[in-house]
Formats: sequence, structure tokens, C-alpha cells
Amino acid sequence: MEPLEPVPGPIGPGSVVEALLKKPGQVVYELSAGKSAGRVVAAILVVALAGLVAFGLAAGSFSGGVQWWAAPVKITVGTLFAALICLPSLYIFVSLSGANIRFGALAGLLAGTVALSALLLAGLTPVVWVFSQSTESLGFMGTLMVLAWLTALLAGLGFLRKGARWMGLTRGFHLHLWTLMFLVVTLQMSCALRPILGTSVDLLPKEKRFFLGHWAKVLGESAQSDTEGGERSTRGVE
Amino acid sequence: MKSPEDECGRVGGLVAAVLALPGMLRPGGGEAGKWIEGPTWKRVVACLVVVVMGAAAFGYSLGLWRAGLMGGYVAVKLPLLVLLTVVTNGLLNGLLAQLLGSGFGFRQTVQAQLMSFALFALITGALSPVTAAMAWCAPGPGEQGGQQAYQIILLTQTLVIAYAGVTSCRRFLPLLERAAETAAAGRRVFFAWLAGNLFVGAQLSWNLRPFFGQPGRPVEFLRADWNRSSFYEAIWRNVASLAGGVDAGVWWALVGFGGLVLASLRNARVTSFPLTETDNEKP
Repeated sequence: MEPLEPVPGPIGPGSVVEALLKKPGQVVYELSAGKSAGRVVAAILVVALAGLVAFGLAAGSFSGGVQWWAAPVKITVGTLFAALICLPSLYIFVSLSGANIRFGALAGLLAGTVALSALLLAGLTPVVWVFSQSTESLGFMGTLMVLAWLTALLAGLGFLRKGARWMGLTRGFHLHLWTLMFLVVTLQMSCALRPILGTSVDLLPKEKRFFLGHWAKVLGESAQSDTEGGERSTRGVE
Repeated sequence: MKSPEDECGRVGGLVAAVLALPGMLRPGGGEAGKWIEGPTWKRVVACLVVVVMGAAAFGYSLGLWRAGLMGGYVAVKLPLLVLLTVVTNGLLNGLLAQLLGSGFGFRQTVQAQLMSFALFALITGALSPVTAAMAWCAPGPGEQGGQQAYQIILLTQTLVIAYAGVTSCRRFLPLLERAAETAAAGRRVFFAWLAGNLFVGAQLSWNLRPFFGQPGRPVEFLRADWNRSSFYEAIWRNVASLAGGVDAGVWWALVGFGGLVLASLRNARVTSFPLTETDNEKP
């Protein structure tokens, strides 16, 4: 396992990005035992915000108009809110898994997880943008966005697992369970804050739904619209 | 001997005791052994604080889907259910602990009982932001998809309760085995307490219903008929109505089969709660 050591040089978004990607042990050290935990968390949050906003812009470019600003705001706020409501259970679940982590350090680890996921999402942004300009199928774009989201989040959660292992995690079962719950919560957020890809008269939905039911409905409508050669989502498909 | 919390003053000590509780969820059990062996008022109050806060938070999320007021009612009723169970079984559990050779006195029994419920409340309380968000995002009663949402929420909340119950029991059993005079006595006391608490807790939860709040029924603190039947009568009635056409011979066969299972369980070694290496070394 990589040794835990401080981040070399001045701490800022650049050094934190490098550490997250190449030497995550440095970030874990700063969060758990370092003297610059506050500055590391601030840098992590800047990275997370930048990545999520970039991904949100790519999502907003599919429909344009209001979505240019609404999609980045919804993706950023939804992700941070999901992380916030899952933080108390994360603390309990890593304790059950044997890790001895302070609540503050764990909050930093979770922020690092979101930041690493956001970094990967930012990396996927050009790909998503190319497709958003190439297709009018809401179903295809939705599937692509969810795949990108899951890929980035699962990679980001690797940082959390590593960090927890450095801090004494011995049994992974409870953390795996929490990971599954976090994924479901973020996916439900995408449904609770819809529309993120398509357009609608309202900025937020008036009808509440579970994400699986919502996706089934949207994919069905999109498939029908694709076969009929319908226009992009301006028909009120969320 | 002074406990570590006594060195921090009254409020500081209480806060330190509350903050020590999550550490007991770790496989080693943290300070749990010391707490059971040396109960103090601060430790008892710390457990009460965690039980009330954790159960209230989870209770609110339980009733939230039906209505905000229902959430408020359940936030009061769930901690009440836990505390009433502890009080109702307190004397019996204290007696059983001594009878089964654990070496625990009444104070230690109360402390241990509250600790087990505090671990449960910690897990459910920590999950309550997620379950509350789920209730908030789901279609409400009377809305399109409301019936499906009710079933999903009911299932999820049941899974959360089952997970918290099983996990806190798995954590608490080794603690009790270590703290008791022998591991076997600790195990006996654990299962005796569990059986008693489940038996009484089921009835008290029946008296204090509704918790989820069925769609179509009014939002109320207690049902009008809260004291006119028992949980076990209701189960019996449901089973009888389900098996209305079943022959009496089948019933006797089921009873015989149940007896055989119980007899085989009596002789079987309990393996469903794995111990740590250090626990195995205990006589």
C-alpha cells in the first residue's frame, strides 16, 4: 500500500487534483493527520464544483435555453445534497467496518470522492457534448449520462474505499452496502430535480416519481418518438 | 474508580459519553466492555439521549410519507416504544441475567439494554436523512403511483429496521459474551433478552400503531381501538383466515414439524453470530 505522506509544496486545486489522481494517500494523510486539512477540503470543493459544473454544461447543451444554467445548478446541488444526507450513515457504516475515522476527516474523504468523480465527469464532458450535438434521442442521451455518471462515481468511490482501508477498515460489507445506497440516492436526485436533459414548462417537477418508474416512462416515450421521427423533447418530455 | 467522562465536568462528560457510543459499533467494541462493567449516570443518560434522538429522527422519516403530522407523531412514538420496552422488561431481564449466570446486576442490565438500543438507534438515525429524502421524493397518498410508493417505502423501511436490528445484535452479542462471567452465560442472557424484548416490543408496537400510516386511514396518534386486541391475536386471526380451508391434519403436521425443528436447534451449536478470534479464546 502506498505510504501516507503530506502533499508536497503549496496546497491548491492543482496539487490536490494531482494527489487525487496519482497519490491519494497524500490527500488521506492531510485529511486525517495533516495541518492543512481546511485548505485541502477547500481545494477539493473547488475541484468538485468545477467538474460538476462542466458536466452540467454538457448536459445543458442538449436542450439549450434555460438548461444552460439549470442543468449545471441541478447536477451540482443534487450531488452535494446527496453526499450530505448520506454522510451520517457513512460514518456509522465505516465504523461497523472497523475503521477509526473522525467525522471531519470522513466528511473530507467523501468530498474527495465527489471531487474525483467530478474530475472524471469533467474528462467525459467533451464526449457527452459530442453526442449531445449529434443526436436528438432523449433516451440515448439519458442512458449515456447515467453510464458516465455510474462510471465516474464508482471510480471516485475507490478513493473512499482506499482511504477507509488506510484508516483501519477491515470488513467491506457495510461499505459496499453504503455505496449501493449512495448510488441509488444520486440517481433518485436526478429524478427529483428533473428535467436535467429535456425541457419542461416547470423548472422542478410537480409530480413525484421513483427514478426507475421515471426512466421506464421516458425511455418508452423516447423510443416511440424515435420511431415516429419526432422532435427533441420540446413536447414536454422531462 | 472515576470513569473518563467524570474528568470532563457534567456537560462535557455527557458529550464525551455520547461521542463514545459510535465507537462501540466497531468490531472491537470500543469502550463497551467498560460501560457494561461500570455503569454510571452519565453513560445511562448518554444512551438515553442517543436512543431518543436516533429513534425520533428515524420515526419522523417513517411517518413522513403519510403526512408531516404523522412524522411528528411517530418521532414521539418510536423512542417511547423503545423506552417502554426497556421499562416493561427491566425487572424480568435483570432477574434473567442473574439466573442465567452472567454476573450482571440490575444496573448493569439496564446499561447493557440501553446500549443495545442505542446502537440500533445510531444506525437507524444515521439512515434517517436518506429515508426521509426517499419519503419526500415519492408520490404521496392519493397521487398517481402512490400505492406503489407506499409498498416500496414500507419494504425499504422494513429492510432498514431489519439491517439495523441484525447489525446491532451482531455487535452486541460478542460484547455481552466478553462482559459476562462466561461466554456461554453471555450468549444465554443475550437470547433470553432478545426473545423477551421481541415478545413485548411486538405487542407495544401494536398498541402504539400506526407507524407507517396507511393511505386512506386518518392521521392519528393512536388508533381508537389501541387497547382492544393483542398483536398475537391479530396474527392468529390472519393465519386462520388465510388457512381457512386447510385440513386439521395439516395443522398437526405443521406443529409436529415445528417441534422437530426446535428440538434440533436445541442441540445445534449457534453459528449464526461469528465471534472474533479473541472471543473464541474465552472459556
